[in-house]
Amino acid sequence: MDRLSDDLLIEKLKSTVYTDNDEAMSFLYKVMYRKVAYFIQKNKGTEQDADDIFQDALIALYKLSKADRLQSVNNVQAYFFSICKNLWYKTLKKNQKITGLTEEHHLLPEVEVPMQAILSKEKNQLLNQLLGNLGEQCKQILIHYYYERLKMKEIKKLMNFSSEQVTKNKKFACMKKLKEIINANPSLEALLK
Amino acid sequence: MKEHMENQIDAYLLGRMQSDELKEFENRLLRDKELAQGVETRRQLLQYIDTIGEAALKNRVQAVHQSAKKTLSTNRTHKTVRFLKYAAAVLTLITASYFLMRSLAPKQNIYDTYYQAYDLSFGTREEGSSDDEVLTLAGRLYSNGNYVEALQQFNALPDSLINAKINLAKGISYLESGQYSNAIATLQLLIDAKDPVYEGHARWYQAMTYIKSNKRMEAKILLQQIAAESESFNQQQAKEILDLLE
Repeated sequence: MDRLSDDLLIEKLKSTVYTDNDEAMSFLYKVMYRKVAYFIQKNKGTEQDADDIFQDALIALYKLSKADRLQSVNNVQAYFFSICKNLWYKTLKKNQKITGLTEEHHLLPEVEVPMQAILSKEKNQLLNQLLGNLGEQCKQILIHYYYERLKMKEIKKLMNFSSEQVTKNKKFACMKKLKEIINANPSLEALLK
Repeated sequence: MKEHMENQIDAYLLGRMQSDELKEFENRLLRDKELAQGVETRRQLLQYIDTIGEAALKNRVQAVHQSAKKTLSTNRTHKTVRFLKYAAAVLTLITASYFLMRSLAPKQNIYDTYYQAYDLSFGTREEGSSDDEVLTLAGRLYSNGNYVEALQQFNALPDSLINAKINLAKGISYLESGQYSNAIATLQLLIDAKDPVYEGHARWYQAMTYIKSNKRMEAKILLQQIAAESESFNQQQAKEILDLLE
C-alpha cells in the first residue's frame, strides 16, 4: 500500500465505498499499530487491549471523518494516536488502574467514544443470528439509509439498483420486514435497547 | 402506516426537512396523536438500526484488523526469514572462510617452513665485458634478496648469455616478486630442456610457486615426481610436504 497523505486518508475514510474505508484503515494499521501497541503495553495494557483500543479509535476517527470534523486536523496520524491515548486513559480510569488523570490527558482531543454503542462480541453474534432473516441486502439498505445517512441516489449506485424508485421500494419493504422480525422476537427488542 | 407518512417521519427524524416543512410537521405533531405515536415508534426503530449499523461497522473494522494483523505478522515473519537468510549467509561465509583459512594455513606454513631461495653465485671476472658486469650486479642483487632489481638486470642480458643457472635465478626471483606465472614459465624452460643440473631444482621451485599461489593439485603432481625420483633435489622435503597435504 502506498503512503497516503492526510487529505487522501480523510477522503478515503469519508468515502461511501467500503473498500476505500478499508484501505484507509489498513494504512493506519500499517503505520500506527505498533506505536499504539507499544504505548498501551508500556502503560499497564496487553496486546488484546491494544487491539480493542485501536479498533475503537478507528471507529471514532471514521465517524469524525463522516461528520466532517477532521478538516482542521493538521496531522491525522498524530491525532489518531491522541484518540488512542485518550481511549486508553479512559479505560484505565474505568478499570481503576489509575487514580487520576495525567496532565497530558487533559490536552488530548475529546471524541465521541463509541464503546457504549458497540455491542459485545456475544451480543453481536446473537444480533447477527436474529437478523439473519432480514437478509444481507435489506440490512445493508437500512444501514446505508438510516445509519450512514446516504441519499437514495448514492444507495442506488452502491447497490446497483436500476432506479431510485426501485431503491425506495426496497427500503420500504426492508423496514417492514425489520419491524416484523423485532415484533416476533421480544429478546431482540430487549437486546437492542 | 402509509408509505408517504413514513417518508415524512423519516425526513423529520433524519433532519432532512426544510424549515417551513419542519414547522408545519411539528404543529401537526402537537395535534395528531397517531402521528406522534408513529414518530415515537419510528425513532425506536432507527435506534435499533443504529445499533445494527454500529455492529456492522465493528464487524468491518474487525475484518480489517484481522487482515492487517496477519499482514503485520507476515511482514514480521518475512523480516525474520530475511534476517535468518542473511544470518545463514554470513554464517556460511564465516564457516567457508574458516575452512578456507584452515586449508590455506598449512600451505602457508609449508611454504614458510620449506621454502628457501636457492643460493646461486655469479662470479666476477677482473676484465669482464659490460654484460659480465650486468650479470655480476644481477647476482649480487639476487644474493642480497633484491629480486625485482635482480630481474631487471637479468632481463637486460642478451639471450645468448642466458643459461640454465640464470633461468633458475630468474624463476626464483619471479616467485619472490609475486610474479607466479612468469616463475612457472621460466622454470618450465629448465624442465622442458631436461637440464641435467637444474631440472630437479626447477621442479622444486615450481612446486613452491604452486603452493604459494594456492594451486594444491599442481603442487602435488610436481612433489610426487620429485618424491619418486631417486636422489632428486629436496626429495625428502617433497615427501614430507605430500604427507602434510594429505
